[in-house]
Amino acid sequence: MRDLSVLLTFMAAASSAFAAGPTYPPDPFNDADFKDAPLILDVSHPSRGRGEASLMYAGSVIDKYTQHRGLMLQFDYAVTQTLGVGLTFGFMHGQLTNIVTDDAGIIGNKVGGPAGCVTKGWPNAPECQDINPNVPDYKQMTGVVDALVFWQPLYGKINVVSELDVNLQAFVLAGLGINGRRKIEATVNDHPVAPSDYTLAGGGLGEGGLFGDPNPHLTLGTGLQVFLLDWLSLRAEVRGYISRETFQFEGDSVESSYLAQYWFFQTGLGFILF
Amino acid sequence: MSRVSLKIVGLVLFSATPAFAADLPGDPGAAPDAKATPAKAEAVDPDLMKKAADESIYVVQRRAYSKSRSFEATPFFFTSLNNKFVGHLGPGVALAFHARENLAVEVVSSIPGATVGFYSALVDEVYRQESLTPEDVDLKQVSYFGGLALQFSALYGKFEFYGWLIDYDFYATIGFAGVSTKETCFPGRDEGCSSDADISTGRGLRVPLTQGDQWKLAGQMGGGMRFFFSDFLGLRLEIRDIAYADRAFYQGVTTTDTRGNVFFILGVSVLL
Repeated sequence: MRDLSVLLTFMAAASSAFAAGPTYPPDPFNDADFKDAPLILDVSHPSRGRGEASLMYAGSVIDKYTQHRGLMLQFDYAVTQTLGVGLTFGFMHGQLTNIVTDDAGIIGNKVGGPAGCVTKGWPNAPECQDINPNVPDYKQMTGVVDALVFWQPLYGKINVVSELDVNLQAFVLAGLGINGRRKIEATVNDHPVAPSDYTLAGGGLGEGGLFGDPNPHLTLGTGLQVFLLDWLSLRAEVRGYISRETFQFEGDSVESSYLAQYWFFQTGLGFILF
Repeated sequence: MSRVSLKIVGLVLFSATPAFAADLPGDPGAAPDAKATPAKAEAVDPDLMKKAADESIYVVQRRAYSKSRSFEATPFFFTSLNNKFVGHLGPGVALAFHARENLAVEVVSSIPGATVGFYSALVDEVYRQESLTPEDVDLKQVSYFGGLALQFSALYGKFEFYGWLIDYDFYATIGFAGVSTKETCFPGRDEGCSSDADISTGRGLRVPLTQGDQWKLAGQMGGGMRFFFSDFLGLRLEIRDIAYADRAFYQGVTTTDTRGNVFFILGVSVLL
């Protein structure tokens, strides 16, 4: 009986723990470990004054007659926490798409189609003299140089695994620049019998020069930068080049101008220099 | 075992119980606190902050909102990205049930009759400049899609926008869908062809005469990002590829292709 009374006394004393909600000290470990605002606002990779060199692989998307692959070298400097400037140098190597080059494509039809060179009679038929596609946006970009302004208002963190704190920054960009252009020339082979009897010239690596046939353009883009290390980041972005081109559309007596667009997805590494 | 020992064990167990009763809001090891109110920031010694700089993960782990056991309704607008020959745009709606914080089942549907299809600039250019047209199967357009998908969102984090914290997560989605298609035709000449024709090519659209050429079983796969501005309202950006084997039969000629329609989807998410 006496043992029971001791136990009841302890139980009564213990029950007071349920009577009121627990109180939590704001910093139980004295390490400032869970102060919400200061921690998320703790920018591990501050932008202001940061200089960075990036090397990116670029590939065109939504290709019509030409697909591009290339390399971009970029230097950025962040003037403020959210604004930066940059300079981009790029080299593009383009190839015609199968819409142009297939047997049933544009050139294939000009060579071996019902109204093509083979049907009309090589070599004197007018259809054999020019088998190049007569379409806009046919020229390929070669060299690119851009002066850019970045706006990077979004700085964040992502929880990749439970304790890995990965910082990232989203940005939009705009700029002006110049790109070189080149044109692939198609000629019909001697004694053609099939739609594929033609030769393409001028599409080799470096052919057309870096800034031959230069054209100014407007650059627009958006992207994301993931900081892997203090000095290394991963960049992924979509970038568009909008330029004024001229072309004589069917039915028009003279060439008229239009806005040509080339869109690229590019990804690569950024090296934080300072 | 003596009675005294039993009493001590009982006492220890009793006194330990409250520790298991609830997660501590400030406990670093606790599960992410769904509706946690941010702790009031107090002045912190800068040296202490510097020392703790590498431990800044907990606020990222703590979510301002929770999707678990919630329904998410998302009215959205979509447009196709890979408009080689045809493009699409229109409205739709998605309803997802989040069985867990990172796993959801989603039903998605475009609004029947509201999808707008169009021929790309390339179709117009090669027709006008070169008197060529793509194969008939390449000119078929999506008139409706709907399906079921599983959504897995393993990555989440927070963005700071001029001092405003925005929660977000990345997700991947995979599933199947049904797609209804329309085929190209010439008004006034072909049975069932629409009266309105494309200005450039003179082509109209019709429901394929063979049901097998209208409805397609498709696979859908994609990924996206979900931003939440409050505990119930957010924004979804998504890329979704809906792929299916397609066929067109026109004037005795059959053409086939595997179509992959890549849609960009922009939606407003409401957690119910």
